[in-house]
Amino acid sequence: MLASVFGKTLYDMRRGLIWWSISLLLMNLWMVSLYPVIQESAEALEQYLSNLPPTFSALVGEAATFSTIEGYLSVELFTFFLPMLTLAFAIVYGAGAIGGEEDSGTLDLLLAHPIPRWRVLAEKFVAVLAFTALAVLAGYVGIILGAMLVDVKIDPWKVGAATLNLGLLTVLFGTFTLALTGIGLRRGSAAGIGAGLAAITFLMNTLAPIADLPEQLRKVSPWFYYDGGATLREGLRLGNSALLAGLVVVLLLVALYGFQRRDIAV
Amino acid sequence: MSEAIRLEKLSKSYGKHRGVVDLDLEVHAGEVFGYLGPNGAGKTTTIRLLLDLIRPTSGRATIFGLDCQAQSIEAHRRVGYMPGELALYPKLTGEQTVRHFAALRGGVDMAWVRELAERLDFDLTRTARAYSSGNKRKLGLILALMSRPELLLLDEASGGLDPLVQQSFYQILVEMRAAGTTIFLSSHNLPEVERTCDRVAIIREGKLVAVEEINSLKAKALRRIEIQFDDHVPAEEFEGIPGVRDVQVTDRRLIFTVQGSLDSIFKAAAQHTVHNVISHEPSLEEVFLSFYAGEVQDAR
Repeated sequence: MLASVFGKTLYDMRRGLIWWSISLLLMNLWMVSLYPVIQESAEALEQYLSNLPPTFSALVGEAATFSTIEGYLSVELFTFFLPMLTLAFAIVYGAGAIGGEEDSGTLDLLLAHPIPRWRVLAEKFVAVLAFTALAVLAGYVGIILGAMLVDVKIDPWKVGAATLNLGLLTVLFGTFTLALTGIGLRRGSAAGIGAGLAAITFLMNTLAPIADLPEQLRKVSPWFYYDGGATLREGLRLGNSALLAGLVVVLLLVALYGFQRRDIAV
Repeated sequence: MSEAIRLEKLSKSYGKHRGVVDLDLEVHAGEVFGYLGPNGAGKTTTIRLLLDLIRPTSGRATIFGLDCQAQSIEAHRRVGYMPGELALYPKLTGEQTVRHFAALRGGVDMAWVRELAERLDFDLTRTARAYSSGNKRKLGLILALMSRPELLLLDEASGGLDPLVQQSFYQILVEMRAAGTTIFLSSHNLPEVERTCDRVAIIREGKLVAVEEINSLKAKALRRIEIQFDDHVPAEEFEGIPGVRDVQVTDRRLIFTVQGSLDSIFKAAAQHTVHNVISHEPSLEEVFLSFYAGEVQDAR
């Protein structure tokens, strides 16, 4: 486990990984298992939703419905709540991967060893990637188990597609904060900017349609391409997922380039 | 390759902060080289430039002929490094830390690690968080020494070690040197440099002010000495001796400053009954003073 920077990074995150995975699994399982009760009052809830001012209905997702499990999970989990949780750990771990070692001073000792900087960063990125993959996978398992438990029919492929997009969005923001520390920002600044940008782009995407903002503004928000609700209803839209993955690659390259060139702070 | 380290007009500026300016230096393979200067003079900056942790503003540095920037990985393979501000992974034990960094080097001789731990009286089984600052320094030394590097870069390495452990550490350095290791030792502690080094460079405010054989440095160093006699001694007996200055006699004590050999002083003192001798090791500042005094004289 400690034989590589990747292993060491994952080893450091192991408790976080276990608890995040258990929490996401149980939370999703709980949400899905509540669905039969919710479904009974779906009509009343939908009426309530349709009476909400447009600002609020935009926040819970377009075409919000409780009459299908997909609609329910879209509103309750995938539109806001799940990504908020997964982004939280990705932003923290992304900013901490290099930034944490730089803040604590261990980066000096690490980089004095015969291992290239790009490789240290790449291995740490893969560790954050693995963390995210395992955590969202646990969430996926929670949904499937919950559906089995209360005997609700749900398409595992569509849930998988939404989970994939959730993972991509999560890794995107993790890579963003990693890139900020890669080009020289301190951990705290990177995490703060990452969280701020996540919030702003979320609002850009959800509020643009009702606030008469130009549609282009939506399209620069990664949340537009994530669109967990639509993916859950309609399945994978390859273009959107590929675009998110492409952004991750671009940010990773920025991180590698910046980190390779800059001075290490004391 | 006879040069372990070569600095060519190496400069690093940090905007407002002082870095290092136009360092030219050669450290020969196999020597123990002291890098002496007060805190903040640029010692750590130089070492971090050698390790490619920071990049020079101008000039270049090589380690065994390898460019410190372009061939840093090759260079790192041959270097063991002990940071001045040592930070360790708090949750790893000593042994886990060793294994992690050993893996990055493609493995080290664990028997040698255990021997080092024993000689430095270090317990590898506890987590780094639980180590005292002295024990952290020991682990840092083990990490620097464990690969039997060809070049050791030690930044204030003996700081925080208790005297007995310091002795073991110096002994290990002597052995490694005998085995051909080049040792580059930064320090602000003159006695330490005196006892371990062949040559020394003095850095002050980012500039090299002297590169000297340790013996000529000692000869230049001003030393303050107090000799206590059983009877009153006349100051005049000592005032004329070459190298002796600032002679004061109070009661039965003779206090003076001397530069160079103590031989004539002690021969003169031996005319009386000597009760006690106290030698104050010159502080770094005093050594600097003697250097600057020399510069001023040369300028005239």
